[in-house]
Amino acid sequence: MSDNQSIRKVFTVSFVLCAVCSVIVSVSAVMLKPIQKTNRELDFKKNLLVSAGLLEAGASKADILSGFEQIEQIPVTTAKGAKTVYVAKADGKITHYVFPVEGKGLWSTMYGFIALSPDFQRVRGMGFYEHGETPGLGGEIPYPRWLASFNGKRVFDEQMQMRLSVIKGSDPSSDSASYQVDGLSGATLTTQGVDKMIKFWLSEDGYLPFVKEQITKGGAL
Amino acid sequence: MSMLKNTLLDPVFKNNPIGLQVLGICSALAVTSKLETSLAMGAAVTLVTAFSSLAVSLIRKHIPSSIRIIVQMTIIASLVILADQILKAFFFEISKSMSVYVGLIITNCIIMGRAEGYALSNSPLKSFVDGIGNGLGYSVVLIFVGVFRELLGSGTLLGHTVLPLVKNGGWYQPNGLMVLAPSAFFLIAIFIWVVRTFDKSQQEEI
Repeated sequence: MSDNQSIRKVFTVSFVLCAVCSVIVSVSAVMLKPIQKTNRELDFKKNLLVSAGLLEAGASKADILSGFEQIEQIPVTTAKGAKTVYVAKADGKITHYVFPVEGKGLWSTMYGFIALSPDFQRVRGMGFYEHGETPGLGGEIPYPRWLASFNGKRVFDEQMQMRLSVIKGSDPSSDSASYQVDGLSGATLTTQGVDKMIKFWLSEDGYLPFVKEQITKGGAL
Repeated sequence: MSMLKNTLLDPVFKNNPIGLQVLGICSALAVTSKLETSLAMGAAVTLVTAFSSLAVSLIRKHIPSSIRIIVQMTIIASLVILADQILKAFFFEISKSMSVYVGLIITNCIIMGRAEGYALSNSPLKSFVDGIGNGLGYSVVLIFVGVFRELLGSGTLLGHTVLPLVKNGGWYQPNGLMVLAPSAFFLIAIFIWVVRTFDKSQQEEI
């Protein structure tokens, strides 16, 4: 006991403790990784389907997997590298285009989806599956209460200019109201992040070339 | 044996870490809007407190007092990471809704308090039981708050509808305050009030 205070003891104890703790932490992280990966993939698929409005939030694992099998995946090249656009069909007709999006929020990167109608004119759904925003404020982004306000908003105007925006306090009487989503109160910076994210991914750097290509190909407009 | 029983049960009502010592309030406010997350948080904190007290007590004779806080912190932090990993692997939905608060268990004063105030001077078995007891005391308050917040705020319990909401065609108009964090203050205050009414020894001298 008397040598407990010696410098040697201090170093030995801290070294052994750190070694033991790091082994425990790394073993648990490595061993549980495969299970966590499956969970994340399932969560990704579920959020994709839910944000497109194809599935209820409380759906079972089997529902998610069978629902996801119906989705066609189209590889797309954007300024941020290769992405996949998910195309949902019902009875052979396209019902939704789901675009994966990501962008910087207040604290970390937000990952989500934006689903558009087959003619790309309306938002069909919005969802987030991973973020690190302030719980209770910006952390409210994945909840339906706010996401529902995206539904039915217009995206492009007649000149194919992207006009969808998320702003603070939308004015329902203005002529751009149908393009505007009211941001989350108390989460200005998160809201701005979501706004920037949508503007980026629906621009020439994002999915706009794909959208234009689809429109010319299908003559959807 | 009765000694151990007291160590286990005393912190639940008589010496409740939240009720009497008013520790660990922050997470009690944050994660209690649903009963499910309250239960998960209670279980996680109980296990972390128990095992950190056990570990600290096991090596208590070898911890140099100059670095004892750092040693406790390292043990607690490792256990919290372990708890976080397990939650992510087996209770993914819950771990998502608890987001950063799992990591913040590290800063829960109850765990550090038990390691510093009890485990450093008691045997491993007693420290372990003390950890469980304090975790249970914490959980009791969280469950109490969680039940009322979910029931009155969303009309559900563990996700099952108990009070049908007006917006779904029922009769219950939910209390919006209950969904927000401040309601936990009122509920904890009521809990402390009730406990101190029945156990006058907990009342403070004015």
